[in-house]
Amino acid sequence: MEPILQVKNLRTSFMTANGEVQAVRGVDFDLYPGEIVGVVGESGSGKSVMSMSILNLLADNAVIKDGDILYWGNSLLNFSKKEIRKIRGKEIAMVFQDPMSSLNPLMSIGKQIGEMIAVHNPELSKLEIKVQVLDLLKKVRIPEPEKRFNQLPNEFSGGMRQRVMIAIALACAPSVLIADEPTTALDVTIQDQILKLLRSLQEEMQMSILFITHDLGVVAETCTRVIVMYGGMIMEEAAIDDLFEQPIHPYTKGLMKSMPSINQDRKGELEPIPGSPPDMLGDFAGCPFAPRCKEARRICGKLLPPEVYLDPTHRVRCWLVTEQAKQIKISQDEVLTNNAGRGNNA
Amino acid sequence: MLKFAGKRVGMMIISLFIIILITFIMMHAVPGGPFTRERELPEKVEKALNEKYKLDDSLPEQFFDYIKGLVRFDLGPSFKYQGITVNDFIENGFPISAKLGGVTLVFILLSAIPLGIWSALKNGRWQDGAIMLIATLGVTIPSFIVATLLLYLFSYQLNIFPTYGLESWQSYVLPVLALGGYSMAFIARLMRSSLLEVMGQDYIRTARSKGLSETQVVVKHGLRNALIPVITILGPTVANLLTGSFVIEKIFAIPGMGVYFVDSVGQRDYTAIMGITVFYATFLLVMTFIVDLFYLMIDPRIKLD
Ligand SMILES: Nc1ncnc2c1ncn2[C@@H]1O[C@H](COP(=O)(O)OP(=O)(O)OP(=O)(O)O)[C@@H](O)[C@H]1O
Ligand SMILES: [Mg+2]
Repeated sequence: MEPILQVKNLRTSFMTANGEVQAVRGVDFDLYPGEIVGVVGESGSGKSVMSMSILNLLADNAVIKDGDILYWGNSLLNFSKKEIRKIRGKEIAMVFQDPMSSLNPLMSIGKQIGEMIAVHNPELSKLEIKVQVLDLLKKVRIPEPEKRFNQLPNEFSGGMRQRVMIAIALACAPSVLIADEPTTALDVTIQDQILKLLRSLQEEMQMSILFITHDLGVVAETCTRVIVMYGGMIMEEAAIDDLFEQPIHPYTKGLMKSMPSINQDRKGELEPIPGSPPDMLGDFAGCPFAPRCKEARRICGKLLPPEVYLDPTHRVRCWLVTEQAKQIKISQDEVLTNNAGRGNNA
Repeated sequence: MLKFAGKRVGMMIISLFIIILITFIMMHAVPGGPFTRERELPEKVEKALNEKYKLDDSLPEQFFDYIKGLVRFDLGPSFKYQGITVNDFIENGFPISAKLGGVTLVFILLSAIPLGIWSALKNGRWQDGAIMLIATLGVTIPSFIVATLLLYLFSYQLNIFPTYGLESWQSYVLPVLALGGYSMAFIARLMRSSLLEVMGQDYIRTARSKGLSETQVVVKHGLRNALIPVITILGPTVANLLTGSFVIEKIFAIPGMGVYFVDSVGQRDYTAIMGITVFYATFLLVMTFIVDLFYLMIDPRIKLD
């Protein structure tokens, strides 16, 4: 099967007064039609910047320094502004992290949803659009759609606003949905409802979802494959069962131990990863996680580990694994050369 | 809506009453009366004058007389000019000040808001730099210096525009620039910073993610939000412009309200000071009320109950 979306060696930086913040440092992954891929990582690991790079919705001071983004094999980075606008919303849509600030406070909900339909279907009349919007409001289970249509965002609760955001994103039935922490700002029960809604809508509409979160528990319930990010890089990627049964990277293991939603049965044993995320200014010496890693060796702080494929669907970036890799008969040299020319193994 | 208007009018009347009361008390607290001269007036004359203008009545009586007059839009006679009422001052001066102010206001709105928007959209580029440099000068240089410079350059040196009066359209150019310069610069800067802030908001990114063009994003989502702070300062600005500036009117020899007001203060023309103050205050309150109505139009979050 051909991937619908490919991110290839993406590097995104912000030019700031203090220097270059390298938020995304060479990220590679593919998204296939109809699958839900999770992206997890602590705050600041570059998840949002990576996802906003896809539709080029970055701040003014951001630069995509290297790499490519392919939609059905076409490079979105080579698209003109007009061409990328046709992709935004219609082919690839986004749900953003903060539902409280992501809606225009002065425009009615109905208008904000309808606008998405109107942009991509200029032939539709106002009435036709309204009918579709009311349908969408029902679809995301907002009660009393007729009444809600004319209301402003400030009359909606956080959970209801996130439903509106989802309605906007789904308005043109996109092939890819990028959901950037759609539930983080919400409390647990609402979080559950939104997740259920997203899953049922995905089944109904058969879109691909890139599901960004910092909660591995949410990933376990929702996704088929997981990408673990740290310091703007992918540390580990695996099918969901592999990752939970056999996490390799010490960072992945650390995330699992620190997640309340996975460890519900073992209360009191929550173990946050000590230390704090790396400074994204400038280059790293060695593995970005090394300063916080309990298993770190000398080399970890000196040289960036290569990415190693344990099997075609499980890759890890960790020096500890390159030794395991040796055992499965890949020499260090091969790993490094493999890594240089890698990208299509998955 | 009616309830809102009624409530606001009620509050305006109360504010106005307090302003009148304070002005009245202050006026009577300053030493010296309207008929104080270097050389004493004969006692008889002063007594007659005081009687004529009821200055011997108790203060509360005088105050209520005054209020009674106000209700009939009668601001009383001038203490200084025989046979001239305060209403005459306003009828003469206000249309002139208001006309100049109105032209200036239109000029400001048509220039400052587009310039501020343009500057924000060109953020960091030379157009932005140039507009902001001029705007910064505009808010820092006092209007009398601007007026003097303009007069020197365009009237004495280049001889393009007349130096006084408001007879032709050309004669409006310099006073409008001098009177409006500050507000124009201020509003342009405010418009720019407000739009820049709005364009960095999350909902602008949402709008972009829908596939809207940049123009649509700015017009549909940016401007309305960015105009709110600008409208807030429009009320005082309008009142300020329309009621006339003493400095500008003096420099360009324009017989507007500003000149009358300052003259009457210098001459302790009680009723004129009171009258013009009350007029200013009313005008300011009405303008703020109108601006609030604009607010209602632009910000649907404000609910009337
Ligand atoms: N406009 C910007 N200018 C400078 N640096 C930025 C900007 N936006 C993001 N960054 C930096 O990029 C890095 C990655 O941020 P990003 O928002 O992608 O993290 P995240 O993984 O989404 O975290 P969270 O879970 O908190 O959403 C951070 O170090 C952040 O400080
Ligand atoms: Mg984020």
